[in-house]
Amino acid sequence: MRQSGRNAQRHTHPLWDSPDPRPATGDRRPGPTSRDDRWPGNEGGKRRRSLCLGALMALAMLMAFPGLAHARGGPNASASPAPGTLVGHGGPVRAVRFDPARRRLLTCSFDYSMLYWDPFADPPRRLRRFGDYEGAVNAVAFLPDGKRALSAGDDGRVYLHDLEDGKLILRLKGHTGKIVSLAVSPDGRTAASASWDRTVRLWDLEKGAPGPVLRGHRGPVNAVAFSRDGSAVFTAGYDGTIRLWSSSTGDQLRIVYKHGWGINVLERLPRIEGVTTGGQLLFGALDGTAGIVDVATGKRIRTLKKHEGPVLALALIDKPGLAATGGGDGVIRVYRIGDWARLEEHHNPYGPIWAMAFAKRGSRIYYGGLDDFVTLWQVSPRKPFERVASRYPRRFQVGKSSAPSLGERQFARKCSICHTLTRDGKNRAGPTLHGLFGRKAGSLPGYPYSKALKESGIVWTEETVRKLFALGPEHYTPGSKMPLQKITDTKARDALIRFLKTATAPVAAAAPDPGKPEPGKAAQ
Amino acid sequence: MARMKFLCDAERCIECNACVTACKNENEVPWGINRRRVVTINDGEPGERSLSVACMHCSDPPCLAVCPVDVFYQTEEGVVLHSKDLCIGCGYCFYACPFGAPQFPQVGNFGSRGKMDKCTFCAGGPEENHSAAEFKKYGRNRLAEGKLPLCAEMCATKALLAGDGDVVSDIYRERVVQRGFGSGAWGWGRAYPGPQG
Repeated sequence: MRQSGRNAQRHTHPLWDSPDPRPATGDRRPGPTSRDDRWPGNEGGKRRRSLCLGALMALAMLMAFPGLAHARGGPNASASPAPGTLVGHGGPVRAVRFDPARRRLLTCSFDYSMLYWDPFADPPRRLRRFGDYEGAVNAVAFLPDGKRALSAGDDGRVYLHDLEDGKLILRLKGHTGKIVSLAVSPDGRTAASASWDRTVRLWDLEKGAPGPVLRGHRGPVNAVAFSRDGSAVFTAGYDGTIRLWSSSTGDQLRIVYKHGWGINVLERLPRIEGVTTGGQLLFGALDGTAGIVDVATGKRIRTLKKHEGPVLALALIDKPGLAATGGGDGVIRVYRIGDWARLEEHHNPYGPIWAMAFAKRGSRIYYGGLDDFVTLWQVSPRKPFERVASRYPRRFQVGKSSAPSLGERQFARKCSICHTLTRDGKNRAGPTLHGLFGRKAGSLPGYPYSKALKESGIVWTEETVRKLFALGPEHYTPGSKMPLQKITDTKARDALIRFLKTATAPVAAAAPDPGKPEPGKAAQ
Repeated sequence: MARMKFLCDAERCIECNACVTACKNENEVPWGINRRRVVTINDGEPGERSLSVACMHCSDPPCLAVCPVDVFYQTEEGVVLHSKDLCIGCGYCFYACPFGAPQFPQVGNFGSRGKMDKCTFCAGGPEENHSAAEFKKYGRNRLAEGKLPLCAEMCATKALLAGDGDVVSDIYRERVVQRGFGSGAWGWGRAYPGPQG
């Protein structure tokens, strides 16, 4: 556990104590407005210096014992979560969304799953796991009723789930590439999905039928948002354009804005009385630019502070009117919508920020990235010391010096993103390799194998594992969920197999797992 | 050993797209993607500039840091290459790259698992030099032939420079002395930070 040394430095614009561009309404947060009341430990607005002792100690340990962090469960395994951290995913987190009431949270991940959370329970409680996917899950969107949600990812399908009973209501097919963004119309009747197949598709959720296909982007489409009345759709993509489309016909109405550099994320700003009309867009681009575009004029009317890497996440909340940008540089910046004063800034030195969402009143942000968990950052009041639970190197980031043997390094760098070696599969995208040799392919109870693998008749031996990596899953286990991957270097492949023979043996794997078991996860 | 670098002089690029075409042709880049592209900023407005952009072969590549399956490696000349055998098409390198270099063809398992493709500095890949497998997966290995990337060789205005970083920076320095700094070499500082680059 460590403290972020660059955090907690900006306190010149607390959320509610500087001039508010809005007229006084009942929506304003009641309570004390004094900064000292709001920001304990920040008297007089003086800058604090966060301590880095945790990070230094961890670094010293890693330098002294390079193989320690990687041992069995991997570096992440020994991370104890900070309070409020949502632990449960088995891979990097690509999307985080609150329901309209901002009480429940959905997160989705590389681990082929979506998780439904009560983040305010102590500790945060995972309410349900959805695992109907055939690839990483990249995007999620609640319907206005807060009881159903859309999700989509690498398998190119849009899923509609009932969150209360966990049932899959719809599975919509059409895209030929991964889906990276979803939006739902304000009336909840239409969904939009943006894909790297260069199209956006609209879906009639009442009929469960496909709608217009929006073609025109000259590259992957990265983001989609509905207009305030639902009659139009905004899209943004790698070609650097923001486009406006009719949601009824699918016709492109015009190119709203050209940025040049690819645009990664896009959100329509909420309508806030006297501040915004609902006709402005917040975007983030791969060159680090984040800005506000006025739809009517097509002009960038405000440029926010540039990130030192691509902007990959945006978050908005209409009460009290905040926006946040997050980037590949691990930085989150919170702005007040209207005068765009920069209120707070948070640095996760191990970045990146791929997804984030404001909790009610904007007092917290939950964010995800390369870690297997979702981190809570308390925006207001800032904590004197902000713990960043991310660890470096992560289990798949070990270098040559961190892995004692070639085989172990092969496992860490090529397999550990999806597999564990212990009995606990830790919700990773693939099943645990514990007891692999001698096991029939597709036979481990509890893991949702593909039909193709279950019926393959393969028994895992040195020879069959060698064939799997020599030929690649697309040839040896066609139709399985395993990504296409070959290890053509025979020395590396043989070293991996030798390592797996030892590390997956039941007797060896019976050693205590340094990783903290996932709460509520039954051993497989 | 030379440290290979790209530099695009935004004062000279005229958006002719010859670099894009040269790369596409020389490396037989898969349909639907370009390893190099020309980005125009402030299009149609005062201050409009064009930049030829591809993988900059960064000194500390962010793509390498986020890749979950160890696809990337750097050659002794600083060229960032990747193994298409190992790539699982997750797209994390796309999110990390400040230049938008990684490209994903429209084919593959589930339509989305296409292997990542990007500029190789015309240096091939992990396969044997000049082998058919190398050409098919990564394109021409001009560096092994003693040649520089064709995009820069073809550039009519010499906006795009490629080669030994010391030589490239000397050329650019002379230009700056003659004309003043102007809009600069976008991305140079980001790709090659620090005094050693």
